Amino acid sequence: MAALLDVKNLHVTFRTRKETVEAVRGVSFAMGREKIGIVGESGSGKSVTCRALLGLVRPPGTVTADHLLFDGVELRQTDPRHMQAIRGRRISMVMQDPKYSLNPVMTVGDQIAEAYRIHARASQAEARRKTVEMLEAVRIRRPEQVYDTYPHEVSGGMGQRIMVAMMLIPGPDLLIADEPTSALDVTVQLQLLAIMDDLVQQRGMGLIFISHDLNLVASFCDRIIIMYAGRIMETCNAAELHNAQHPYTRGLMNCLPQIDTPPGELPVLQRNPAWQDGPL
Amino acid sequence: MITVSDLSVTFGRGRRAVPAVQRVSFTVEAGGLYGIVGESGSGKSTILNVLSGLNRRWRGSVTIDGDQQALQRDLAFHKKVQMVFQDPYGSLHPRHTVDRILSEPVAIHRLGQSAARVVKALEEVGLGPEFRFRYPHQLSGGQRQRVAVARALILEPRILLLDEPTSALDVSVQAEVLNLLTGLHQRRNLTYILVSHNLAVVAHMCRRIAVMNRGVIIEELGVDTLRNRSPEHPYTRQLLSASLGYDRQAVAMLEEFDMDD
Repeated sequence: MAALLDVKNLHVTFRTRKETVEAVRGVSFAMGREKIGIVGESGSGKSVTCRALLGLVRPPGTVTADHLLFDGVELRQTDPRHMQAIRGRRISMVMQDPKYSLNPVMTVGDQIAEAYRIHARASQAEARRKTVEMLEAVRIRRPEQVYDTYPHEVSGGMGQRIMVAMMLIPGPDLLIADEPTSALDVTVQLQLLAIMDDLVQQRGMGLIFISHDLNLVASFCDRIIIMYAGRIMETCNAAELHNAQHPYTRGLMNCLPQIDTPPGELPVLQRNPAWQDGPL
Repeated sequence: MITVSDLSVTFGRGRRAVPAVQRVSFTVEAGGLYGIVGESGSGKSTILNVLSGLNRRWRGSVTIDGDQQALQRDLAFHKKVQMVFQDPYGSLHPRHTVDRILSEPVAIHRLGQSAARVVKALEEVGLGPEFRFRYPHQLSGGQRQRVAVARALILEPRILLLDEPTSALDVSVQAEVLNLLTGLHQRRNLTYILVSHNLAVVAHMCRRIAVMNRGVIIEELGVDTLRNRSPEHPYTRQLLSASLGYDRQAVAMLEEFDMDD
């Protein structure tokens, strides 16, 4: 079986007058139609990896790789026009904060319908019908009314459901969710995950879920990639996370306060400089 | 040490009035570790703003260290009660050095010996004297939060109000800051009120915990009740199960809780 996504030796470098920052240094992974989680602390390169996949790294950033294969197509050599057809239509991305990713002066319904019409060439009436269906699919009550609201009139959780609706309406094969729930309350967060979980399963899509929350990812995804300093430290099955070997993974797990462990000193993560360059 | 009774805060007037906190009462003994947990909009930060004197439109009664508090607080109050805010990127003046940030409260309270106090406060939060003349942008998130804690400690307060002190930090840095706060509590015999949306953080730090929803404390419980996973109120139980991770079946059972019922 050919992988849905196959990344080999991805590097992303930002070169400025002052310094050169290597945000991603030799990341390789392959995935099928499954839920994969990328976990890491800020600056680990998890978001930049996904932006590179979509061709969203702007100069002075440069992307190099041995290959970036999506469904057999090499993404690096794809010209901007073809990339437009892949981005959104086949791979789409939900960002962290709906407040900044929705257009504030356009009704949410029109924004979702626009996403559909760009990729599907439908009539206005058809796009509206599809949009209302999609709002229903992300469990928004009274979708007809919500269609005509503006982003500032909806809550954070609803805004993020609208984002998911917009990203899923063109029927992509791969959904990248970059910390989609970090700004939400725990219960709202779980509800949004359930919506994504169900839709991804029904449509047989792949999902890349980026998060800093190791526990959440372990309970939600099939496999976990753990990143540190632009490199993959360890990849493991979510169910076997407690058997993880890498000291960084273990350190991340141990430094989390737990509800049922008595208080005291939390073990502090000791970073080993060798992780940055040593063999994996 | 702290007694709050029948505290209510309403934002706005007339038909658009939003009751943010409704008739909340609780007591924290001296040296206590009290946690307030709840989702966004539950009123937990509003309570801290009232206690610290930042919010001056409230009803009810607040007694701190035996003194009934008026809407306006005096200098002595602020020496006793200090607050640490959520976002270390927003709570430090970007154009002031660490030294200036820490000297300002010393000058306001006319304590004198500014330099010695600054060095001592830095040492207490685990930062060396080399950090004294840096600007906030030269510090990491964890270092900034340490400076924010140092700024609160430099007046030698007896009460620290902590508003989501680690939620903007990475988990490894969160562990360091929580350890720092635990250590300070023991060394300095401080009284803490910690507000957080993270049940695990509150359970780790606090002995007694108030659970808030829509402006009301719906349950106050000891940390052991939380650890045994035996809270009374269904809302607390739901919050607890949601904090334990994703479970498709559990999500289907989630309910809306509206305390007006």
